[in-house]
Amino acid sequence: MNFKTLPGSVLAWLRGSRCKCLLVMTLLGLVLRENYPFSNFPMFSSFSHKTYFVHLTDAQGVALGIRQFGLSNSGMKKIFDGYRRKDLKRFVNAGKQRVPLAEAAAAQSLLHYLNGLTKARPATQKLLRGLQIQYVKVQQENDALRLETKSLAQHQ
Amino acid sequence: MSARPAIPTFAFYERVVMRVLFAWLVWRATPDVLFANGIPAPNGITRLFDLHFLLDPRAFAFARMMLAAALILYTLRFVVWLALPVALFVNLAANGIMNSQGAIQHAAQIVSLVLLAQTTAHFYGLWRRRQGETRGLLESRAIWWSQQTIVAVYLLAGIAKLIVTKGLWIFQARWIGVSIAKAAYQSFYDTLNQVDLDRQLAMANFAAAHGWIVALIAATGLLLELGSPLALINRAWAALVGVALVCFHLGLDYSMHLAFIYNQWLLIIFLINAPYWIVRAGQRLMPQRQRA
Repeated sequence: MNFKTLPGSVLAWLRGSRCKCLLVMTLLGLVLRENYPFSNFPMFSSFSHKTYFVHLTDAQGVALGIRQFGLSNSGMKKIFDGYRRKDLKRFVNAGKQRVPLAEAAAAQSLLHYLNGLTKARPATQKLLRGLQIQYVKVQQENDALRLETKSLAQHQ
Repeated sequence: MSARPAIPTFAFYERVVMRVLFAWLVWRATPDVLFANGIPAPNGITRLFDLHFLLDPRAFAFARMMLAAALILYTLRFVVWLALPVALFVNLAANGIMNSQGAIQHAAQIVSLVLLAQTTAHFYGLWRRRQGETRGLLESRAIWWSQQTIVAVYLLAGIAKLIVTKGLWIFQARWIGVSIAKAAYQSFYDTLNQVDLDRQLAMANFAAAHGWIVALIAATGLLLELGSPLALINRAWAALVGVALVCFHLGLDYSMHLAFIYNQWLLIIFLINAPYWIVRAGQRLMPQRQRA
């Protein structure tokens, strides 16, 4: 096989193909990954026997709808997850305390982010006092689902 | 046997319906207000351009007005060379900012990609016209590329599943109950609306208890994604794959509250293309009526 002529052959094939756009869009998605508007669409691309989500409660632990802040719960979880990943790197030498420290720091960052969102929605400012970030672990054990909840941070 | 044309052609009424519905969809898929806390995690277009000026509500209101004007011009096929880039910029900028909050959302992405494909197809078509291509192909190419872009999104989703799990996605799918439960609670904590929570949690528990049955059902979804390029064979395949993918989304919406409503609309507009089938059915029925 002559590799020198390969790029030319590929280009010639592409030129003759009816589905140029499909090929180009697929390649761009695979190469550029998550770069809006491009994506490799990785949602639900893998499953695990455990996962987690976060939600908000007031000081008494009563649940609050996140839409009031102009966010979705899945969006908030992704934001929290981004902070968590960064903080896991920051506490890489913390031993067994690494995960709890990273999650607590990520929850504080999330509270700070929500604080900033209230500028666009002043009505939500009153919700901030005592606001708690709740972390819920969802796990499958012996063909049954189990949930564990813990409070990670509270707005002062 | 005649060779298939490089670009399938679409009748005037099909193009009009597609244009009107797609313009409406772009309008819907562009945020009307930017609830953003700056641009803390630049992504995509916000890495290339400084879009902080759009965080000013007056600037964004102006951008929305420009979008409205651009979409009206696009619908009327008037100065499309200007309308498409303006619509693309406003749509990409607004969604780019919302996707730069530290959370990537995939809801509106497919609309932006189709808009990008149509813009590229238009300018490519203008260039081809200079080389003697007929005028009529300009809009048909935009539709053809839209169809390919929609298919590419599903194909990518299927490929990603195989890459991420090294081909073991179906085996991992036995844990889908965990994801269904998470999605159910996340949907509940959006608005605290409890209407579907019990049903979805019952489904999550069923999936956890019968993981392999659910994995087999999930496998059909993966096959559908990987087989989506079949939609490009002809109109009948496009409609068939389109209907199957809409059913797939309805199933996901029922079980996990993941409607992907813009995906559904794009499938309806560009793949299912009901006006064509209605007119075709009418044409077949009319001669019979005349004979009767």
